[in-house]
Amino acid sequence: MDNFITTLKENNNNLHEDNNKLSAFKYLSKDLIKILDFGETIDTVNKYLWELVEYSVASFVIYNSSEYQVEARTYIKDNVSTSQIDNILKELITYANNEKINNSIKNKTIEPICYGLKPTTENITPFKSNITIPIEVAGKIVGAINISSIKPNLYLDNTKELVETFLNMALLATSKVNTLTQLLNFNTESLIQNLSNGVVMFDTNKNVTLANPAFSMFTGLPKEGYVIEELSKLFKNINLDENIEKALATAQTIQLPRVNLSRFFYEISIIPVKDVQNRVAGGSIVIHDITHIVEVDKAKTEFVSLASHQLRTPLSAIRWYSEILLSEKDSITENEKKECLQAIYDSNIRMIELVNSLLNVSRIELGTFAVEPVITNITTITSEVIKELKNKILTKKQTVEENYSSDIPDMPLDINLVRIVMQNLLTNSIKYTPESGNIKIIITKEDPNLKIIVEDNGYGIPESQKRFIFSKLFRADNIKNKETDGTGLGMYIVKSIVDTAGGTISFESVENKFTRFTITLPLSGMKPIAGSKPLDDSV
Amino acid sequence: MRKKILIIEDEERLMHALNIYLADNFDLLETSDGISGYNTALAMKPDLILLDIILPQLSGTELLRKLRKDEWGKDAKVVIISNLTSKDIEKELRDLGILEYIVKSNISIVDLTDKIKTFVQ
Repeated sequence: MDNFITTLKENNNNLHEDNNKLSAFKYLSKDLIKILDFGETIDTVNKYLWELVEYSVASFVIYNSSEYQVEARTYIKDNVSTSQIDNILKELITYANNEKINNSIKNKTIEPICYGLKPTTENITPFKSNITIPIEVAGKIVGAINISSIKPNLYLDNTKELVETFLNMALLATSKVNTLTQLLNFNTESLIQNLSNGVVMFDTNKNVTLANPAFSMFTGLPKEGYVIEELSKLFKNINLDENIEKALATAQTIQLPRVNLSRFFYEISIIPVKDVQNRVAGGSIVIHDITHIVEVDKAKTEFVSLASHQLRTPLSAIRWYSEILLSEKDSITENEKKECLQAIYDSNIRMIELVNSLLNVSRIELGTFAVEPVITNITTITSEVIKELKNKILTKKQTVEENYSSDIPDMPLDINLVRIVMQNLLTNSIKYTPESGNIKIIITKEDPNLKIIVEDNGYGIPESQKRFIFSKLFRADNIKNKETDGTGLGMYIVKSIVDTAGGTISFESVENKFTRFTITLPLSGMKPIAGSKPLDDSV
Repeated sequence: MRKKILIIEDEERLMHALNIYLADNFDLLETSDGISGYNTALAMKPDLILLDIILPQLSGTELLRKLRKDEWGKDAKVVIISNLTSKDIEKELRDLGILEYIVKSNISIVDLTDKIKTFVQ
C-alpha cells in the first residue's frame, strides 16, 4: 500500500511538473509572438525558465547579429558574489568560443545587465550544481546559457535537455519573426514607394522618417530630415497639427475634409502607426489626389446646368406661344397664330431631339451603347440618309454631290451608328450653309482606311471657336442666330462613335468660305461591343 | 410717353413671343448678341434692359460688368431673363445690381409682362 501511495504521489508530482512545463511552453510561445528584440526574448525566456528549473543564477551571453553586439543578462535569485558572476561570464565566453561562436564575442569585456538580487562583494557559498548549454538559432550557435545553484545535485541530464529545447525553440521563433518582419518591412516600403497616393511617416517626436515620391511631388517636401509641422504650413485651413495630436492621442484614423493646394485637390488621412505591442509609435499621413474627381464632378455639374438650359429654352417657347394662342388676343392675326403653332411644333421637335441626344451622350459616357456590325456598304447608308434629308435640301435649294470610289468594299459596320454620323454631318452642312449652297460627300478607299469627306461652302467655323467643336452642348456664335435649332451635342456624339470605331475625325474651315470634315475608318470595319442599349438615331 | 425697353436675347422665337406681348405697351429695341446689345444700351439709354446670359460674342454677365463702368450704365435698370439656373452666376449678377433674376421657363409671359410694367413705372 505504501508503495502504491508513493508511486501515486510520484505520478502526481510528475503530472504536476509536466503541467507546469506545458503551461510554461504555452505562455512562452504566446508572449514571444509580440517580441522582436533578443534582450526581451531572453527576459521572457528567463521568466518561464524559473517555472521549469530552480537556480541561484541564470546567465545568458548572446551575440545579437541584427545589431552586431554581444548582450549579457544575469538573473539572480540567491545571495551570490560579483566574482561568482564574473567567473560565470568568463566561463560562458570560453564555452561559446569553444563552440565556435561568431568571432565578435572574443576578447570582449561584457557588462551584464543584472536582474533580481544584488551580488555582494563578500565570499559566499560556492555553487554546487551547474550546467552550461549552447544557444543555437537556425543551426548556428549564437551564445550560451549557464544555470548555477548553491544546492547540490539539482540538475540532471533531462534538465539540460529540457532547458536546451525550451531555449532553442524560443530563439528560433524570435529569429523567424525577425526575418519575417524584415521581409514585411521591405515589401511594405517598396509598396509605399510605388503608391500613387502620397505617404509620409513620422515618429512620436513628429520627425519625418519616410516620404514616398508621390508625397514629395504633391507637396514639394523632401523625403526626410524635417518635422511634420512643415506640412501644416502648406495646408493651412485644416488644423493639421491639432488633428495629428488627436490621431496619436486617440490611436484613431482621422479623415480630413477636402483641401486644395494651388489648382490641385487632395483628401488627407492621418493614421496612427502602432508597434508590435500595440503602442502608438508615430503616424503616417496619406494624401490622395482627387483633382481629377473634382474636375469630373465640376464638368458634370456644368453639363447638367447647360443641358437643363437647353431643355428650358424650347419649353419656354412652348409655354409662351401656347399662352399667346390661349389668350385670344385681338391683335393677333391668323398668320401670327399659325406662326405660334409652328413655333410650338418646332420647339417640341427640338425637345425630342435634345432628349434623344442627351440619352445618347449618357450611353456613350457610361459605355453602355452596343456596337453591332453587319456586312454592309457605307455608300448605301450615306445615300439613304441623303434621301431622307431631301426635303430640307430642296427647301434651301442646295445641291448635293455624291462622289464615291468604285472600290469601296463591303465591311462590318453598325448601320445605326454610321447613320448617326452621316445624319449629323449632313444635317449640319444643310443647316449651316445658306440657300443655293453646295454640299459634297466624297468616299474613297485609302488603305488601310476608308476616307469620308463631307464638305460645304457655308458659314464656316470661327477660328476662335474651333477648339470647342467636339465639346458637349457647344454651338458656335456665328450660327446661333441663323439656326435656332441644334442641340450642340451632334459633333460630340459623332466623335465618340468614330473614336469607338477606331477611326479619326478632323476638320478644316474658313468662316463664310467652307467647312470640310474628314473621317477615316479602318477597312477592317467596326468591332462588336456588347452593350445594353443602341444609340438613338432620330437626331 | 412710352417707355423704351431693350431686349438682348439670342433665341429668335423667344424674342418674337416677347415682342407680341410687349410691343403694344412699350417701344422695343431688340438685339441678339452681347456686343450690339451693349452698344445699343449706351446709344439708346433704355428705361429697362431685359438681358439673357448665354449670348454670342459677349455674355450677359460680361456685358453687365462693362455697363456698370459707364456713367449712365452704372444705374441702368437690368432684369435678367435666362434659362440658366446657376446659383453662382445668379449671385454674381445680383452683386452687379440687377433688379431681378427671372428663369424664362418658370414664368408665364403675362406675369413677365406685369413684372416689366412695375419695373419701369
